[in-house]
Amino acid sequence: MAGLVPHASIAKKVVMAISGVLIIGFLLAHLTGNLLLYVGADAFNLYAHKLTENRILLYPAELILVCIFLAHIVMGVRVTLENRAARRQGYDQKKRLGKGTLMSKTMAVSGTVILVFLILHLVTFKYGASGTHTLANGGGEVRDLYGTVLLAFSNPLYSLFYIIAMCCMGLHIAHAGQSALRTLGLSHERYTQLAVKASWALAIFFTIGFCSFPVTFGFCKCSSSSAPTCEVPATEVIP
Amino acid sequence: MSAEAYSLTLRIWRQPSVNIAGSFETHQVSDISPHMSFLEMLDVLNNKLEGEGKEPVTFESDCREGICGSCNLFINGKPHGPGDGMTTCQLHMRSFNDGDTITIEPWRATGFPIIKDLMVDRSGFDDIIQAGGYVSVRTGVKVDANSTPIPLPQAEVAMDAAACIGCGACVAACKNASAMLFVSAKVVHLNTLPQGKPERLERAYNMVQAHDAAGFGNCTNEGECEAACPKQIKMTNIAALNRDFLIQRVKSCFSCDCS
Repeated sequence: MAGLVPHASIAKKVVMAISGVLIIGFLLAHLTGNLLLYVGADAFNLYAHKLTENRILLYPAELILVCIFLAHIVMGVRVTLENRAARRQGYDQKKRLGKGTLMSKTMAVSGTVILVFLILHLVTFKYGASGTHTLANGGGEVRDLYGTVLLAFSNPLYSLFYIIAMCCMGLHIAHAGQSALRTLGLSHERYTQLAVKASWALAIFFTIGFCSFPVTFGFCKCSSSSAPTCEVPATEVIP
Repeated sequence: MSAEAYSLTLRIWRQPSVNIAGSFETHQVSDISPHMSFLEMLDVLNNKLEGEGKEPVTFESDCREGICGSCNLFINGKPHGPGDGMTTCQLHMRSFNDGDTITIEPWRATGFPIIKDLMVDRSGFDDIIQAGGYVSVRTGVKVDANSTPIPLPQAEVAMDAAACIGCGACVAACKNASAMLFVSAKVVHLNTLPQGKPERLERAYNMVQAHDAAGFGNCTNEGECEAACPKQIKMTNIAALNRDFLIQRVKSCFSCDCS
């Protein structure tokens, strides 16, 4: 087992790269599921119900997900601490030479914001209080996660933090995408710029995708409840 | 020759030894010709200090033609000072203006402990080289030149990587004080050539182990090293090193030698 704990610097980075790529995959699935919010309460609540219904599949899946996140976080903290120790005394004057970016210099900061967001996100949605929702066409009663989402985003401070955290995630991915490829040894001079652009595209895709929820259900609804596009939720909200 | 001569203010890091705290000292130099190299300017300063009975500034230099990698100074926030693709000895005073204040610091990294003033101990790099920066050959008569055919593109990659002079500017510029650009240059140089191929994977693994043991940080693929390198070594070498390292690890896991 001791052999599985990476010690060499590249091994640690490879663990971060692979777990990061898996997290991107998780985000893609998560975003796709969340798009059902736009379909309506019935569709979203049914999706959420189906997702958590089968406990035999749910718990192992959650365990794997926790392991992936933990691996990424633990290695991230280790790498950051070691890198600090590698230069105890800083320079009096240091110029940026043009290759390092805002994102690459703030990976630990954006990572920490994402971690805080993740904990808050789980508390609010996964373990948060919800009412019940009666599905149309006699589908029975399920947890009203749709109502919980609307309630959470009705708090402008929560919506704002959500958007800030998603922007941090975007900055994180913008550097991480091409960095992961390099760490895994997938880099060629001909494709360097392509990798950088692809990372940005991925970052912008996820940031816009996730930010659309607080904007639509939070700010849009709060500021103009009379607007025809923003319908009042039909479900009963129990905080 | 123009008759102009610069007067400069130098902020120089002085530190008696690794365990004694250092600080900046300010010195004035005058009558500096723009045609002098940066190191010659420091020679002028040291002559002046010696004349005044003061301790001269310790800095390292050897070839003074940009191939030995000794003259490591962090000048005005950049390794080897202003200008791309050159070492401190190739930096000339015409890159500055009369009346400038120039800040001179040593490389700052745990893997490069300060010996004195601006001189650091780069034996960490020697340890990395000793771990795999060589090709094991049978002794005997020297083989004929070109008896091992090497395709030109491969030879070019190896030659570009071999341009590394081991100065440590990559470490100095890296926010993590990582020496991955140095390690990757040495690994790619040998691993690309047929002579180095047989030991390719062990070389990558052993040199990375030595890199970590020397106290250098982890690479986060920023690229500041590439921008700072006086020999313009490319970051793609780091990806190639990662590739060989990964293959070595995966192979060793399948041969039940996971350590």
